[in-house]
Amino acid sequence: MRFFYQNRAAAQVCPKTIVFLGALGILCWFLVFRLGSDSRPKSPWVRSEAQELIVYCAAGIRKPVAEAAKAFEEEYGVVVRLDYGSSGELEGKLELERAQNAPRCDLYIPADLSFSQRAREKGLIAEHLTLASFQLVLAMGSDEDLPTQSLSSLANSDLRFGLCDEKAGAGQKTCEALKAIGLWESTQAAAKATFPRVTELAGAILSSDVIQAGFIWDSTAHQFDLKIIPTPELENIQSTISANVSAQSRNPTWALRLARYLSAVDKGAAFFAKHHYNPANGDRWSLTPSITFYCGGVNREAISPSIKAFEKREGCVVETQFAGCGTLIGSIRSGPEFLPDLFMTCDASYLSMVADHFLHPQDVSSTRVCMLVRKGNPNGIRQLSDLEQADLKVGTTDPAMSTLGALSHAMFEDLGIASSLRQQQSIIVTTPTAHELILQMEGHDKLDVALVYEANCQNLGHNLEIIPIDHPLAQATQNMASGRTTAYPQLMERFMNTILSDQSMESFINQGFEWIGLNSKQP
Amino acid sequence: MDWTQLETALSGLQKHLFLQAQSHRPKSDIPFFTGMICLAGFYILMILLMVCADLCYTDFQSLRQTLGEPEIQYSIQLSLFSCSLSTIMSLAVAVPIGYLMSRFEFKGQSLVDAVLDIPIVLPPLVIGISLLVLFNYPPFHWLSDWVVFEIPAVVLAQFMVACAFAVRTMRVTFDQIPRRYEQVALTLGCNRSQAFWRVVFPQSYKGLLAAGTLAWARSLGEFGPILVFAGSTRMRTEVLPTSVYLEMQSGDLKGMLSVSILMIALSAAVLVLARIFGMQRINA
Amino acid sequence: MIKLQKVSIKQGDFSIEDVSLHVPAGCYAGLMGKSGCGKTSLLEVIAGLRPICSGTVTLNDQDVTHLKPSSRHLGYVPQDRALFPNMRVGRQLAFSLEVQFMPQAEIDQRIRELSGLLSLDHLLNRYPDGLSGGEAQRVALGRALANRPKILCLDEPLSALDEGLHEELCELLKSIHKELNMTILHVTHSRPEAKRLAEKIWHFKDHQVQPAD
Repeated sequence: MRFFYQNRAAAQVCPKTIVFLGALGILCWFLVFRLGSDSRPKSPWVRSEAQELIVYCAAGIRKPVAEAAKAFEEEYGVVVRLDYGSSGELEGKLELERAQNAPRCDLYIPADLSFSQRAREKGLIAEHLTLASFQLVLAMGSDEDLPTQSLSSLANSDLRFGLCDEKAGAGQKTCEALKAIGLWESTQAAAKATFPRVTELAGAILSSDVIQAGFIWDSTAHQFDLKIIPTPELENIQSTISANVSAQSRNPTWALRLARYLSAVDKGAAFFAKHHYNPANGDRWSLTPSITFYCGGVNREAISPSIKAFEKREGCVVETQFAGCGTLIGSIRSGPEFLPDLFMTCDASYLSMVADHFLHPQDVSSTRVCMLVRKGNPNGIRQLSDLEQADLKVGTTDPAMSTLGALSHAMFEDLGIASSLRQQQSIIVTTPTAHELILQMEGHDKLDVALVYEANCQNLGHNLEIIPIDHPLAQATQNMASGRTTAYPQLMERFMNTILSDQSMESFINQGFEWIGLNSKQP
Repeated sequence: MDWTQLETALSGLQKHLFLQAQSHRPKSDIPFFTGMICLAGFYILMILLMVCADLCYTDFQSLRQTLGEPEIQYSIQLSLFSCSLSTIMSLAVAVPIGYLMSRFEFKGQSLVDAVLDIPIVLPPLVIGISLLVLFNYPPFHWLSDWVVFEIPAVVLAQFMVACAFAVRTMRVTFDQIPRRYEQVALTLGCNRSQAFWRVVFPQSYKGLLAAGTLAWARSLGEFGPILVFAGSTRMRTEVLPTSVYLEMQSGDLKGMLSVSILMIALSAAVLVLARIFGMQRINA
Repeated sequence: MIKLQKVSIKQGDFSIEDVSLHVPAGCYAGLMGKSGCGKTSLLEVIAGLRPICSGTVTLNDQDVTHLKPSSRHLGYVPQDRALFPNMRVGRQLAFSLEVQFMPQAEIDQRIRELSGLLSLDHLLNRYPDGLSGGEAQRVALGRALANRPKILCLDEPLSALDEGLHEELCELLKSIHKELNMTILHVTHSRPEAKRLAEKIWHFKDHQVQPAD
């Protein structure tokens, strides 16, 4: 029997409790979803970004690409449509689409590197990821006897062989290889037939009596169960398959994801190996890779747009730590779990301190140390030695803890003014970074001069101006290097390319840096 | 159902209720205390583990080397001096503000309350830059030479933050002292000043001790406003937390931890001593 | 004497209007009423601890309406006694005398008198938290009487005491009234207590003070 006399008030839940629990529930759901985003690829948010990807794939490499693409489709629900053709045909299609401003292709996978290089020169592709390599061979039907082993006697032999069209990867490679040893014209003349695609040539070798052998890929030979004739001249004739993101792709992020999937050592590589290709073993797979980037604080404003653009394009997460280089060095030295994937410095001397942990550094930019004074330069300061003036109040960053401070005081020593500055007690304040010095110059009129980087002075108030310093020590060079132990070396290569791109260069120049990076047009 | 049946049913119900009440046993207190102790223990353990981790990571050699540096010795002395001075100043200001806010109601009181909380909610660097900008204007500008980027700036920056916490503590303290004591004191011939010093203030010693230790601890840990307003000039305006920050900037983790351990030891020593002497005075 | 003429108080939702009361000099008056009717507020008005909106307060023929509590020279014992927690009994008794910077010898003499009157000799070194209910009540009384006020206001002084103590303190109050010839206003909600001690009784009812039948 229900006892109606029970205290109903006690059984009621306070509305505030409901609201609180509801908010907690939403927070938990959000956290779980966000934290688990990589392990829940079929979530509606991920799916809605791209419904379909169109891949132009060379016919000869159809099988591994098709299988890998199917696996990708099943895992992530993105439909991958494969258009086959010869590498040259597909290149032609890309050009036509660009001319007609009707972009269709997302990913272009030719059978040879030369096609991808040419496409890049024409501006048809953006990113390029190596997938696998294979070898050009002379193959014949399995029931045939091996007739010859030297290409020089092939033209004069009775062997009925075929070639691929030069538009096909195999055809182009054959042409290059034979031209290099001066046998192209004779071989071309002696060929019984030319086929537009390598698979058609392989099919003809297998089924037709007219063609006994042909110049095809080793993987195609395995696919069609043909015998490979050992040919010394072709031993080192390799071709590299690459996945190239179309410059006009409407889904560059997903196209890059597919490219990474195909190249991943733990995903696509297996499919290529299965079909007797030599996989390139790219970065390990992650739908949304998370990388750690340590960056010197002086670069912050200049590099932030590049980081955002890279994250958006690659569909990755860049966990950036902006801090003084000393702090970053301290973290790097604390242990292997604190090593970043990429490190960009305020000054190259810092990277030298931890060179063992990083690959070869690349210079990006430089900035000069300058003197910040009141508008109108009331104390008439033209050069560093003018700081010796009586009653001048100078501010620097800490010489023991900061590159800027170290450079400043090194210049004082070099010019022989350090002792007089000490005697006059001219340096009335030191700070950890230039930011505090600039705040102090802007906030109060006690300081007359502060030594800062030009790159720190982009957003100065109207009451301050810069006096440049002409001294060899007045320069800091920013460089970067990827970590030796990074799980994503190729991703890091692309990240560094982004940092060295034209857009990035513009951003650095706008922030007052001098650009010294390669891989980009100099101003 | 007629009235007789209803009466019978109700008396049966009554009996059932009585029996149920008799058989009710309150639930055990063990889960309550377990939960409280676990939460409290977790936090205390975390603090102790953090300190142990710092101790384990550094070594005696590092510690001795750090203590031997003249810059560190100077920053210890300056920290002790500036924290003590800012604490005294904080209490001198917090007591009257706390008393007035507690005892009197006036128009705009909630606004004044909000203003008193500003130093607590503002980021430390903003306090530093605000002080710097303030000293551009008279009459503060007349004192710039003596204050800005000098030791008085350290004390002032610490005071601005520490006092806000001391005010809160003293207000709560005075709120807890009933007004009746002062009222009786007034009827016994006191004016308000006598009533305050003879009756109210002696009862606020515990709150004063709490406010003083809080202000001291805040002063020791604060370095954001000091960086901008006083700078971090070695052997001049560098205090212990600035030393930690500078060691960190140079990538010297061991050096940083040595200074941190020094700060922990110093603050623990001062706070424990203050409590012992303070409680002795209160209990006397 | 105590005279209230058309006194009005307003604080938040609580208000009393046009209350008049006249306690002749030397009279032991009782003021009765239900809890929360405003008896304590009236005492506070007389002591000067609560401001009034209108009316006058006269003590011993002197208009004290705008005088500070410290100038009204009366004794006040609140309902919760409010003994100063960190002062010993001796210092509590001496408090009002020390405030006037009276010589120590006179202060000591007065403490002896009060201790004798109220049997507090053995309690002088104790703190309030070491006192029983009756002892605390006597200390509060002694503190209020130290400065020889002519008027004494008592707010339910006997409410928390057991029967034996109640009896003892009733006798004490009677003897104080007789010996010191003071005007006493005693607030209580107990009719027997009022009848026992008071010469005149007023009722505080419906925000009005009326003589009892």
